Amino acid sequence: MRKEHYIPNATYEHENEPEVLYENGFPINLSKPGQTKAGFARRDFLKGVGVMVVGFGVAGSTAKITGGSTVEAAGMTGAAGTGVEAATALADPPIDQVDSYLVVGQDGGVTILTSLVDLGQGISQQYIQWVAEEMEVSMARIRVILGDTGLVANDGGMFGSRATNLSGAKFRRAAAAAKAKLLELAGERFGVSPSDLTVHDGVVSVKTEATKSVSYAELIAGKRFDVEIPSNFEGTKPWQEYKIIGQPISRVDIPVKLTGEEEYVHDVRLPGMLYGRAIRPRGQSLYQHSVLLDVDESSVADVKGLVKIVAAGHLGGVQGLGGQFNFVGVICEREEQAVEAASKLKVTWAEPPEIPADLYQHLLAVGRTTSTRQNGDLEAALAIADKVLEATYTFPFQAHASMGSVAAVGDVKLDSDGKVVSAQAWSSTQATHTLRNNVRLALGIPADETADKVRVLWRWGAGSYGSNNGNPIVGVDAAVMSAAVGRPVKVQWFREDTHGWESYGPIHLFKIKAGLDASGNVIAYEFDSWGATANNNSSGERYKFGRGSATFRVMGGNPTGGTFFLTAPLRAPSQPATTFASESFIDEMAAAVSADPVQFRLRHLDPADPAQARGMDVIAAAAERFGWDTRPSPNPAHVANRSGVVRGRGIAYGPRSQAYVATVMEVEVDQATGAVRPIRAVVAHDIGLIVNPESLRQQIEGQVAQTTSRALWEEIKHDGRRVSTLDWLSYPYLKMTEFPRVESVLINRPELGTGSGAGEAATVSIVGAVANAIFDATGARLRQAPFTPERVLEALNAR
Amino acid sequence: MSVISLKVNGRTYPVDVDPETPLLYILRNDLNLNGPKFGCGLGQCGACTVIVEGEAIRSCITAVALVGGFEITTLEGLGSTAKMHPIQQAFLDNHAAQCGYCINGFIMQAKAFVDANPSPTFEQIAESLVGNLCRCGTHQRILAAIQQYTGGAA
Ligand code: FES
Ligand code: FES
Repeated sequence: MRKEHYIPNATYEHENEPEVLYENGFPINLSKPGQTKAGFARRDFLKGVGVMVVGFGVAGSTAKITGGSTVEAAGMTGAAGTGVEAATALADPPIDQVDSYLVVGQDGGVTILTSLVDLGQGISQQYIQWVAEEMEVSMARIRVILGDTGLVANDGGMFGSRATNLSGAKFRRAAAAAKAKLLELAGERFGVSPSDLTVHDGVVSVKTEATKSVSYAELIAGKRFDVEIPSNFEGTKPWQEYKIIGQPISRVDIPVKLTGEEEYVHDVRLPGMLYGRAIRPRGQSLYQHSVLLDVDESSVADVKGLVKIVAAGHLGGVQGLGGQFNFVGVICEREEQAVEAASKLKVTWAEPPEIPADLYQHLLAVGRTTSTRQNGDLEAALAIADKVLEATYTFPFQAHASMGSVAAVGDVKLDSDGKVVSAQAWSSTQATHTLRNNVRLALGIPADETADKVRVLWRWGAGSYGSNNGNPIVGVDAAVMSAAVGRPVKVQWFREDTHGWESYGPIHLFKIKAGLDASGNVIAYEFDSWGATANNNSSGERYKFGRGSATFRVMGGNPTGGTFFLTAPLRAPSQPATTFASESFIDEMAAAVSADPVQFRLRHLDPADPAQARGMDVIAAAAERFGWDTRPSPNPAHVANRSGVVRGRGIAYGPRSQAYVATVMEVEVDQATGAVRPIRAVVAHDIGLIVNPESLRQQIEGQVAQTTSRALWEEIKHDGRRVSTLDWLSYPYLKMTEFPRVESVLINRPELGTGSGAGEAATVSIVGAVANAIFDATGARLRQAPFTPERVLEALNAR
Repeated sequence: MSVISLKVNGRTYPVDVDPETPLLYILRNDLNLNGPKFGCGLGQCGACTVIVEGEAIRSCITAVALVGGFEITTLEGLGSTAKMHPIQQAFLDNHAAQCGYCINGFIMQAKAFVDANPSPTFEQIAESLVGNLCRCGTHQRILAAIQQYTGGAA
């Protein structure tokens, strides 16, 4: 950040906000009338007094939810009397304390605080269900504060479907520990043992003497639990007693999203707020090459309302951050003025290097082995094989492509020397604390002042499906622009930047080779994988291949600049790719020995292995619900029929850590045009314990839809220098008439006690299932995703 | 700049802006409405849809001067959580939102379509929504919600 960008004497000031009192850095619960909109405290700690002065005016509305429950986006206080004004401290709250996650207010309401935010999958509903279940408090009195770094403990970002495993389990243990503590306190009060007590909606009574009762609020409001979160589940409810877990309860966040009452990050409006647009080269190239050469300020001389032009990161990027943070910002009084300025401003960027035309060849050329797992003697097994098969599959760069162009609001306050006093950023990032650190870096704030000076306030955004859909970058853009003018600035990216400057799911190339014996069993298996990603994975090991030998050689390609384009995990990172390859290949093997694809898979799974047994269950369940007729693919009835529209069905099995999923997909293929029309998808899904089956179905349906689109259409393309797929026409998404009907078969295993996350698992098997369905319909094998009409025609012609 | 009289959700607002300004910015920034959303700014996704004189239009590519004096309805004009419009209720009954960013567009597009075509078939409903995108893949529930709203089988 160059100093001359600051306007030292900012005229804008926040409204005064009421004070919140703190004791030992923890809020004293307040329920003063009229204090319904108290801003949360920043860490302006008045030494010696133990009082923090509120420094932030946070606009916001309380979301009333069906059932009377209240979910709030972070940073907003709720109705008077909830008594939870803030839970902030100079340092982040400790991650092992009940107090960091659960606060009981004066009215007995419970507030859940977490850094694991909701991406639209409805995870906050799950948090509420766990806490209601374990604490015995009605859901209507539970609210959630998500991702306000001024309030929540830093459990890291929300990715990898870890909310269920991490936060769900944590809240469950924390809530059980909180309840135990409350029973202990009530027991002391009545002189009885906790086992003589019973709880109903936050009121503890003596079992034998109902008149003796006390509310949670009376016991704990204004005080701390001072209890560590247990490391095990001892003391949590046995699953047989669940009343709320497992119920299809309507998501609390939905109603306000249907009426315009929800405040998304795009809707945050602060007094005196300006509008910024960030200008980047049109489409990314090798990202470190976004070198700014010149900004011709005269080109926008006639734009009204122009407040400032900010050139951030001339060479090295915004301080300490990568080249994707380089941008030129225009800040205007009104949004349309910022749009006009951004389109008129003449900015010259250095010509980027050429992008190899064939990225897959490039990947092979620069690929290097990163890890190898091998057992047995592959060559020996191949030598005695009756049949040897080989195939190569490719999978392109794909985009998260959020529906909303990403946006953020920055509010940086400067002193009279232009030094940063405080910085706030409103963002729908998945990783609020990472953004907090990046804002700190961009503004040159010392590391030890991070928690004191920088605050990220999460707000709902458009679904992100992975950690970098552009949100982490636009958050910094907004902070940098705000710092340049000392006023709040809202920045929204153009669609071309949301498509062009996010971090893509990486490309992959796979070579698979296998040997089968005379009875059609796989005795040798080799799976080589290249990908523009560090966390390449193999997926062939899910079967008990290799009665003789099996080899998995996993390779990771590292092209120039690490990953060539910006890459980041995209929903079930790389697994739709690896599973497309491995599940297509197992289909090829089945076809080579004229075996039914379902039977062939089941034959190669071991019922004695608990994981493989669960795999067998979902494969069988999907086939049964679909009405699978046992026969080899392609459909013998179609073999002579090489024209017209034909239907086929394909299966793919796609486990993901502790989630087991199989999908049967039915498609129609027009053999004249190569057009593929998905008809129906049956997904059998086992994640262990199901917390909310309705939310789960919704997640499955969404993943089938999104991934079917990825299978058929989605591919990041470039023009030789830069990414050229910059909107919904060049990067098409399935239309309303083109989605398959989805049927979910849910397998619940409450006895396992825990469930895996469900926001990604159903993604894994879809691409493979589509490819196998096309093969079943036509006998054409698609080995390159996406399966556009041209590629399908090509494969049809190769039959 | 010129003063344009905007009739939104039954109220009239004089706005003094460049007449070329997309309606969306006025609704969001001057009238503080959250319903219509900026998705693409290119007329490709439908997130910004509002109803003007009964017709669903893309407010991101509609100059404000074009709609001066016309009745404009936004999502907020249909109902609120306190009193939902039946189409909003149908979306709620079917859990037809994930992130919800696209939902404004679907509700407004469908509302205008069903007003003009009270008993559409399932295929007609889907066809009427081909210009609206939902990246979360809430399609099935959106279609079920609209079917419920039109009195068809959900
Ligand atoms: S925002 Fe208007 S159509 Fe996408
Ligand atoms: S619900 Fe997220 S885009 Fe439709």
